[in-house]
Amino acid sequence: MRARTTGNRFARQVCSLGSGPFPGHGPDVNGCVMDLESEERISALADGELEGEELRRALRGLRDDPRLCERWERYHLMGDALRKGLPARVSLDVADRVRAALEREATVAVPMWRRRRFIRQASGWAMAAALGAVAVFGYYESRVDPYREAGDSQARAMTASPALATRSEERELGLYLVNHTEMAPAAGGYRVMPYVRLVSDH
Amino acid sequence: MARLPTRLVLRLGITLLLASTACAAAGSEQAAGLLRRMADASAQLSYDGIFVYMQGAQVQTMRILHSAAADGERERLVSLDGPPREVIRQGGNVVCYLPDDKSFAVENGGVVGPPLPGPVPTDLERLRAHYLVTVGGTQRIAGRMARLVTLAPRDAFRYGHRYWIAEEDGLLLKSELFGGGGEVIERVLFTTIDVRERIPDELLHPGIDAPGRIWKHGVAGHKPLAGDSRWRALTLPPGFKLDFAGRYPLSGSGVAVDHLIYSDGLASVSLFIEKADGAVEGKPGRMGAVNTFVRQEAGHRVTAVGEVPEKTVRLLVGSVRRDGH
Repeated sequence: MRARTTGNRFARQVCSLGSGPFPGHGPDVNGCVMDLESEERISALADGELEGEELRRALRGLRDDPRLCERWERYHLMGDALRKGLPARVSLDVADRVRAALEREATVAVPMWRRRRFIRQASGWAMAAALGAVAVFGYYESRVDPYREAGDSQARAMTASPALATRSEERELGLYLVNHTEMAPAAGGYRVMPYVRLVSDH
Repeated sequence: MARLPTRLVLRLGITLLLASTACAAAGSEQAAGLLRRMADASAQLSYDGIFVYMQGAQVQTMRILHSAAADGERERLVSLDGPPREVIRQGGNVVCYLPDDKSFAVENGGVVGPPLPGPVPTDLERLRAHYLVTVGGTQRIAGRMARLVTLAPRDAFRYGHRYWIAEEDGLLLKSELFGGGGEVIERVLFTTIDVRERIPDELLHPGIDAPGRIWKHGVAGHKPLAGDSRWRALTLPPGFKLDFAGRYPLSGSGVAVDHLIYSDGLASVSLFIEKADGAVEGKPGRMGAVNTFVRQEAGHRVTAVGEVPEKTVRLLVGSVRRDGH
């Protein structure tokens, strides 16, 4: 629907805060594959087949993992669609309810949670910065014509790779761009210019 | 009777020659004055404007609010098309609000090392070797008269700039970044810009807080790491000099990087050097007007990022060596 994974913390937050008006198109920055067990658990949860400890585990999973959160919402959409057709405006407060339910659960180990949240926040931050910049800009590999500038022996020594930049490379470039923007003198003296580049939606 | 016109023509010719020489000097002087005025105006005036940002085939409308109050500068940049995005700058802190999947980045500028040279191209003596500086005529932009200042590149290592500067108060009304072939790479064009006594506080706060959304403000400051950077680019494009060299944990990832900034006084390129295995080899890339180039060197990954042609990032990255060899 929206809220793709830009780092667990943020995505979870978005996930739990209702619908953003725009379709997300962020890549899966976590780089790990959702395991089947979680998938099945979410499926079972959506079908109302879970109880007790299993239910709590599934709920924790949801709160833990924004991709599960998304998956959960999709199951619900599918269910809704099957039962009564899609509503005019899709309600996305499902995750909110899940979270509220979780917060009522006294069995969740809070200190552990806090710690994990903190770690997530830190890594989410990194991804946010990187993705923010890169996703906003869009990243293009230049045409593969590396030796147009003949005569540069050092450039010649390099071999060009036509491969697309990987996600991690994009992230890194995004971070670099943000740091460059901040530290390098802005061309033209108009200080807002570099940020125009950041905000612009390419 | 016949000699008079000849003498007149000669005198006129000499006068014109002298005038044009004087004009060239005056033109450069005038350009420097205009650019300085532009820099002052953009920092010292409070204004509220709407502009169009064009890059390639992309067009975006944005609003800028700039407040120059006694307690410092504040700036808010809002994207009016597509997903709402904002950047708010207060002093050295910059918060980017890039909602949904974009999240936001927070940076704290000006912490690392000595202050960088000012961003304004007022050092025309240095620039003149690599840019042809001219002052053009006046044009009407956003309902106001503007004077055109052009810095055209003398070689292919940098882009050119055109600035249309309001005659009345020095605000930038239009700007273009252009390539060697004259092609416009990036354009900013104000449609309206109003100078205000002050910008109300509420207009300087982010306006895209969806109900219940919690915005986190924070600062990931650069803390310099001990020791100087041992990396340098050995072959520099004409006119480029090392402006900054330092080591710090990259905000966002915390990874220790060496950061070198090379600049010709107007265009700048950052080189980031990070320990990395693998064989990323000679890879060009582009992000808007920014060109990038990545290469592996002695167990490190070297990445150049800058608003310069690909040729320039390629040259700089290609010549980066540790300990000067």
